[in-house]
Amino acid sequence: MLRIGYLAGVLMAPLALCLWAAAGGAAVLRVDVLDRDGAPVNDVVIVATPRHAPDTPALTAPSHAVMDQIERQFVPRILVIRTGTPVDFPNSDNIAHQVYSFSPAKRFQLSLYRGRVYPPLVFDKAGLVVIGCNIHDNMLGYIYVTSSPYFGKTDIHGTLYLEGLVGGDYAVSAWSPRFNEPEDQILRDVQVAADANPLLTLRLTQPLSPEPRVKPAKAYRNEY
Amino acid sequence: MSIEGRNRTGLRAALLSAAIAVPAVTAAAEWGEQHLDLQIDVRYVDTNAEGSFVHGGLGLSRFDEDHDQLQLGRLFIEYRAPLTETIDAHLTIDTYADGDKNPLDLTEAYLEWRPFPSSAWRWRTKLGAFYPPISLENRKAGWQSAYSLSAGAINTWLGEEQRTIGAETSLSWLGSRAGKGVDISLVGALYGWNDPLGVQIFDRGWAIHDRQTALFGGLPKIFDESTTRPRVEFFHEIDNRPGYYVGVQAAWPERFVVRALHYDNRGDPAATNGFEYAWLTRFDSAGLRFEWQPDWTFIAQWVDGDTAVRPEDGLETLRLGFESYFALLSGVFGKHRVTARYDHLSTYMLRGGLYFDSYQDAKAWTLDYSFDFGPRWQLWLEALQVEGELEQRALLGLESDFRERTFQCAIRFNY
Repeated sequence: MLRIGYLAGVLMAPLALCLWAAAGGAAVLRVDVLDRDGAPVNDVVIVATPRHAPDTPALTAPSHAVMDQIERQFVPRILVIRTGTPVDFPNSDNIAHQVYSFSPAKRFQLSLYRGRVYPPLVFDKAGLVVIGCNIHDNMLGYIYVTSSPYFGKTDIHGTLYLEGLVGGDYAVSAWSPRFNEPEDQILRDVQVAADANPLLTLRLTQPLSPEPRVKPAKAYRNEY
Repeated sequence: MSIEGRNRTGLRAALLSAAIAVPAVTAAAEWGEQHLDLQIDVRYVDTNAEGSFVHGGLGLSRFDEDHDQLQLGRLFIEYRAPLTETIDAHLTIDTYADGDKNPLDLTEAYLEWRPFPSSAWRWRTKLGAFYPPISLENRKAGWQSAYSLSAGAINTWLGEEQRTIGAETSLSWLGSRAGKGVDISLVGALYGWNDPLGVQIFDRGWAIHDRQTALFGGLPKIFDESTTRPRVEFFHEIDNRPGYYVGVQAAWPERFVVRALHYDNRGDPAATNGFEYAWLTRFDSAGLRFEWQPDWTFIAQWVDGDTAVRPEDGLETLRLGFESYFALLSGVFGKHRVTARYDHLSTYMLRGGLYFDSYQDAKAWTLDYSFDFGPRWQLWLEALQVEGELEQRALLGLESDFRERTFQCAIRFNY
């Protein structure tokens, strides 16, 4: 009995979700990013910006994000957030880091010593914020700040589902620090009909830069 | 002489008091985070080299037939402490326990000022005694090679004779933080207290090892035994003429680095302090390092220059040309690293002396294997062969053709 109830719950939940989505007229946009050879590209920032006035509130209100430092790397290396999101910068390493950015969207500097807690920084301007460490030049991180509520990063299959879109015209952008496209990012106009689940495939025209090293270099001294 | 003596004492006193003051200041600093690297390196050495330069011979290895088997590879402490948010103090205390003047000594002692970049341009300034940005191998604490026990001949030479004692500043354009991928840097330095630079490469030629001469230490004089000081001390100001270097670097972080540097110590080859001469040493240096996945590194470096001295006994100026290059390939496989390096070593007289000619034409192969067998423990194996011609060996009654083979097995503990 209990088992049947559980099964019913498992089956019913997606159904209910679909019904709710249909009732709200929400669409799911699937975006696939492929490189020149057709291989999936992960960790690509995808943003769908409504061309029409965004009459729907954000599905997720700006809450809270974290960019940690683990083994002399920013984790995650690429963070996508909505404008107004506060971001915590903890330091999980047992050495000091000095995090900074001089990107126009957010200029800051933060000395992060072991075992200290710092108040979060609020990113209230849309744009790309490139993060560095003044002690470890090899550390490079990105915070992509967007005013659109529809965003995310592609998974290891190169895929991202943007959920809860209302019908209308969207500008869809794709960006990765590994892109070498003529424009910094790929831009596509997409028309999304209510209740539809459109599929958008973005194919790169230029080869990707190599992935960053999986394991960061050990504690090398600064050279310049 | 007494003035020179005072100069030396002054420099020594300044550096030593800095060394003592740094921990005191940082202990008082409220928000400091100090960092300490300690390494003990114990080795088993087997070599056929005769009379190492460390013991006054012309052997190119640190060790020789009479100084091998169980040896202290090195014991060092590199200490780093923030004095302010953007100024760090660096201090490296070293010993090789091989009979140098001081049982413990300093190899580097400097302050580094790293203001936060507020735009894509960034300044960095160093003040004290440190290495110039030439080596692409010596990336670890204690200016140790990350790839092999013994550094390439070029970097070995810097460790023996060279130290920038002065100020260096660099201006970088951080393109990698501005969406352009590449960082471009210019560097320049003014320095003194390194006038004997050139005597070692003149007397003995290039060598391959990992011994760095300490700031207050030296190496035995090989041919000149007429003076009261039996060791060459490289870190003295003799001619009161500052030297300089200027360099440029382009770096794609963690991927590719290419750099070039021009060095001129502006020595006055006729100046002497009674123990050492000032040598006029000028060279050009270039290097590149390429790193690619999963964990491969290729490094090549090249140095070409000359050094001149004019002994006071009426002889004309002696001028020696020197050139060296190496190529290194290293791969990491889990906890294992394997490295192979080829070095070319060459010195030749551009203007000869009556009684002494320096000539070296040799090549070297270095093979290294290292294994991280514990979080703090490393095993290193190195096989090194240097062979060729070194004419000045004849002055010590040796054949000028030589083939030195050195095998080293080191256990390193890092804290």
